[in-house]
This record gives sequence, C-alpha cells and structure tokens, in this order.
Amino acid sequence: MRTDTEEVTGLADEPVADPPAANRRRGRFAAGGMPRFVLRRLLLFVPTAVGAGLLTFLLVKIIPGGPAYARLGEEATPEAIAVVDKQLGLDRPVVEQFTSWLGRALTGDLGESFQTGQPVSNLIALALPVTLELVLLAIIGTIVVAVPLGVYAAKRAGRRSGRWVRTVSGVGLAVPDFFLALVLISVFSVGLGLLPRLGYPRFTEDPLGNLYHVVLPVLPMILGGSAIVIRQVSAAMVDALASDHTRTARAMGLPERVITWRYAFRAALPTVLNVVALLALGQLGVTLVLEKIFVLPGMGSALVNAIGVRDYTLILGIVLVYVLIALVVNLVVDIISGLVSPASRGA
Amino acid sequence: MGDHLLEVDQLHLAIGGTPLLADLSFTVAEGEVVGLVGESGSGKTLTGLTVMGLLPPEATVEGTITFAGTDLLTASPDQLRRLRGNELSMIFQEPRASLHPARPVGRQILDVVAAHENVPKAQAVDRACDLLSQVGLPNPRRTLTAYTHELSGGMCQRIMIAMALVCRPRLLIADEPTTALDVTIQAQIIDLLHRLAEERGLAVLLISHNLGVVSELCSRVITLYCGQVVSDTRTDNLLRRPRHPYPWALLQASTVDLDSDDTREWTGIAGAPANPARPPAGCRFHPRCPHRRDACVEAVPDLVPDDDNGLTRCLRHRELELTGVPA
Repeated sequence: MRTDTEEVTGLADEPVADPPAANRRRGRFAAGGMPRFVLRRLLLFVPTAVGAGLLTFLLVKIIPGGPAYARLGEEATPEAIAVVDKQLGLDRPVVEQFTSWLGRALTGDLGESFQTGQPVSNLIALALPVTLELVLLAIIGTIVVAVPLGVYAAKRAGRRSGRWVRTVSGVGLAVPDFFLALVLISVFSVGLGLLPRLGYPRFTEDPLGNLYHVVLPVLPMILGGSAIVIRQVSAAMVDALASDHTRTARAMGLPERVITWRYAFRAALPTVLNVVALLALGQLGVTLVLEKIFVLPGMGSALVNAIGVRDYTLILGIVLVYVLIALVVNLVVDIISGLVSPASRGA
Repeated sequence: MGDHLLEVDQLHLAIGGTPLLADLSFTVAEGEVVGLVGESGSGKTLTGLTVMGLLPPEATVEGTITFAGTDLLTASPDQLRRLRGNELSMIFQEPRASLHPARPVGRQILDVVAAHENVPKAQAVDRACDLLSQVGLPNPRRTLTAYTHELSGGMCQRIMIAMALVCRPRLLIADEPTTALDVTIQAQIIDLLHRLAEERGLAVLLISHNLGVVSELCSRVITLYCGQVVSDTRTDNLLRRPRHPYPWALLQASTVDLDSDDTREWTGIAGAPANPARPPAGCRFHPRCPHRRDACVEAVPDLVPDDDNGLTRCLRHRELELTGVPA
C-alpha cells in the first residue's frame, strides 16, 4: 500500500511509479494471470462434484423403496426384486456402488438410466437446453425489467413513485412462482386464450413457435426474479447515489444521466452482478416446479420423474450437471466482477 | 456590492425542519482567498454545499446567494449544473472516497471537460496532462490511466484539485482539503492552493477548523458559530486582536502547546457547542463566553462593523481587549 509519506521526498521526482504496471502486479489474476485462475477454479469442480454426488447418493438411498419396486410394483416378490437389483448392480455394497459410479462419472460416463436403459448423458443432452433456455430468458427478462425499475426507485427514493415500485416488488416477493404461474395460466391461456399452456416445439425446428410457447412459463420467473432484483438494485443504487464520488460528480456539473449510469450504476454493478448470478441459480430450482406445471421436457421434469422411479443414475447425473452449472456461474461472475471493479482485484 | 463574485445574503437553512444556518451573510470578491472557520457542526460544510446547490432534497433554504450576477437559489437545475465545475467548483475532505473507484482518474477529469465544453478529446487530454503536472503529479500521462486505489491520499487530492480546476472556474470551495492527509502533505497542498489561486486569479473559500491552515492561505477569515457569522475580518487583524470572544477562544486553543509542561492554564473553550436547532437566547456564544454581561442574554447582537474594518457580532467588541497570538 502506498502512503502519503512517499510524497515527502518532493513533488516532482517519484510517486507514481507506473500505475498500470502496479495494477498488473497486484491484480487478482496476478500469479500466472487469468488462465491459471480459471483453471484453479475449474479444478475445484472435482472435489465439489464428489461431495455433491456423495450427498445425493446418500439422500437417494434414504428414500424408501427402490428402482426394483418402482419397476415391478408393490406386489413384487422378494425374489423378483433381487433379480432386478442384481441386474442394476444394487446387490453390491453401497460404498462399492458409489465408488464405481464415481469412477466412471469422472471419466465422463454417467451410466445408463435404470428405467429406460438409455445413456444418462443423452437424456441430459435433450433436457438441458430446455432448462437453460428457460433460465436464460428469465434472466434476460429480469435484467430488462428490474434494472431500470430498480434505478428508477433509487432515484425517486423518498418520493411516492419510488415507494410504489418498492411496495409492488415487496408484494411480488411474497407470491410463490407456482401460484403466479397458475394465475397467469388462467388469465392468458384459459381466460384470454392469448398464450398456449402446453406444447414445446424445439427451438431448432420452430424458433418462433418455441418462443411463443415459453412465454407463459418464463413470465412467472421474470416477475418473481424482478421482485428480488428491483429491491437489490435499488438498495445498491441508493448507496451509490449517496456516495462521496457521486457528490463529486454533481459538484463538477456532470449531466444527471452520466452521474446515474456511468458513475453510480457502475459503482453498484458488482452488487447487481452477484444478485443476478444468485438469482440464476435460484431460477434453476424454480424450473423444477414450472417444467412440471407446463409439462416441459427439461432437467426439472426429468429429475422429478427420476426421483419418482428411483432412477439413481439419472438423478445423480442431473445433480452433477446442476453442480457444474453453479460452479461455472460463480466463476463467470467472479471474472466479471474482477473486470468491473479494479480495486477488488487486489483481494 | 456589485464587485463581489459571491454574495450570500441572509441565508437561512433547515433540513427536515431543523434549522441549521441562521441569517448567514458574507461575500467573496473575485480572486480573494477567504477562510470559513468554526467548530464541527457550526455549519461550514453546509454553507459550501448550499452555495454549490448540493443539499439533500428535504432541505429548505431562504435568502439569496448571488454568484457573478446569477441568483443560485432560483436558478434552474440545468443552469446550476452548467455553473458547477465550470464557474464554481468544490473539493472535499476525503479525496480518495471523492473519486470514483472503478473509473481511471483521467477519464473522470475528461468527463468534467466533456460536461462543459465541446473540445476534441486529444485537446482535452493535453489539458488534463498540463494540469496534472501543474498540481505536482509526475508522469501525467500515466497518472491519467490510474485508479484511485493505486494512488496515495495526497495524490488523490491533487487530482481532485485538477478536476475542479480543469474548466477554469472563478471560485473554488475547498472543504477541509487537508484534514484527511498527514501533516507534510497538508503543507504541500496548502502551498499548491496558494500558488494556483495566485496564478489563476482564482477565488477560494477555504472551509477549515484549523486556524493555522486558514491563516497561512487566507487574507480574510469568516468565523461561524452555531450557524451564524460571528466575525468577518482580515486575517492579520484577527491574529493581532480578535474582536469577538469566540475566534479569540479558538486562537487561544490553537496556540496551546500540548507537549510543554505548562498546560495548567489551558481551559479550552468551556461548555459544548450550541445546537443551532435550539439556539440559546441572545448572543449564541454567551453560555460559553467568559466576558458575557446581562445584555448578552437579552437580544441577538447584530453583525456590526468593528474598528478594524471588519464585522463582529459582539456587543462588547469596543471595550474588550482580547489578545491575539504572537506573529
């Protein structure tokens, strides 16, 4: 850390050695730069995935019943069950089951679905784009809706219009997404007949039809997400607008638009990014319910079905993908945060 | 009074219904360096922010503030914005916090130029570089790309000064510009302000609680107490013979040498600063004044001319023989 005492020696000779170089020296990506930082974080995926896999494996084992029961029904004889268990390798000790699954998973082989016999990776490849589309559209929609409204609420904090935005978003927070979905269905689909409630043409086959069909599932996610993001953006902007550097920008006569976006919003940006990233992961959870309601062939439906039939390999495979998504989202946010707030790179 | 650059007349300020400045009047002439002193809470910073039009929306202001012929209190927000940073400018106490942490300082200076003038970028960059070397920063071109966390507090304050002066304003309000810096840097910044004010014919309103800093830089000192001007006089007269017991007490307090053994007689200023929301009756300083008489409690004294061509708000200014500090 530089101190003022460096200036004691005189004005002209020394102080600013070479700021950009100093920046590089102290940067977060310092030792080995960005690629190494990313690599380190990706390696973290392995222990996290093992931990998450183990946890899921144990939870799945705790659920009463098993794949054999699910397949053969309640009347199944113990002999028939034993046969199926042997087929699926469930007669082996639990530890061995886990380690053999883990060993293959780490090489990229997620095994076959107990129920259909298809490779889990194929099932995921079909389901993942559906879920990612929902989450991506929901996040884009949320940013478009919530960022301007949050900034507006902050600029008008203390005035009636600003309080209105915050109150409405507070109410939005209290309404569960699935309830919102049901209300929207009854209004736009059942009542007005404007939007389809069922059906999911693949984007690759019918892009417009696809978008038309996901409006209704995505809408509750946008509304629910905006309720959270508006409040967070607004709180971060209120702080940024009250900061000393905003006062300076005002004292220098910068136009209000520049102060709001280039100065205050820029200062609030790391907070906003973190909120959006957390929201993206939260929305992944919301898709579990919404895909069920709208009968969409995504990861959420697949997971719920897999749990229903105790399809252990499919459950584990899906959870693993969720973990990977969470890690990648966090990594991306960390990288972006580092890029937008130079001072934090030193941390 | 037409030759005054800044004229504050009977300013009353309340924030959220709490009165904070009462009947505040003073002037700053073109090119004049004036000090505004007082204890914490006396309203110094508020006065600066009021002139700049940077008060929170719940503030209510009465009176007039005239700057170069423009009434600042009735000016439109856009008119004010055009004046700020361009004709009158302000620097603050915490230089690092006062600059944006995520924008190179050079960009922040160029933003100020772009807000007020329509000049090509290369020309603006040259001007910023020039100014950075004038405020004593070596390597101006490199400094332009630096972020605040790469610079010391003293360097940040130099950049603030450059930013405030890049559009050649006529008045600079400096709010405790050296308080957050260490002593050696303080002296450098004071020298710098002194030099720039002289070279550019810049008027400066220096807000400070430090009479030493003020007396070094300012030709005239305005003393605030409890939201009122109590004394307004030439610096040399104030130092030689204060005409009001409050600046006198401040002077006495500032000359105490805490390192010497002889601090027995030092009493500081007795009592606590008066609260402008509930000011004492009569002279606001009377509860703490060793020279008070019954008359001091009865009515608020007017700000009247004293024998040195200054102004004082003391009833007894003619009879009191207050001692200043040795030169």
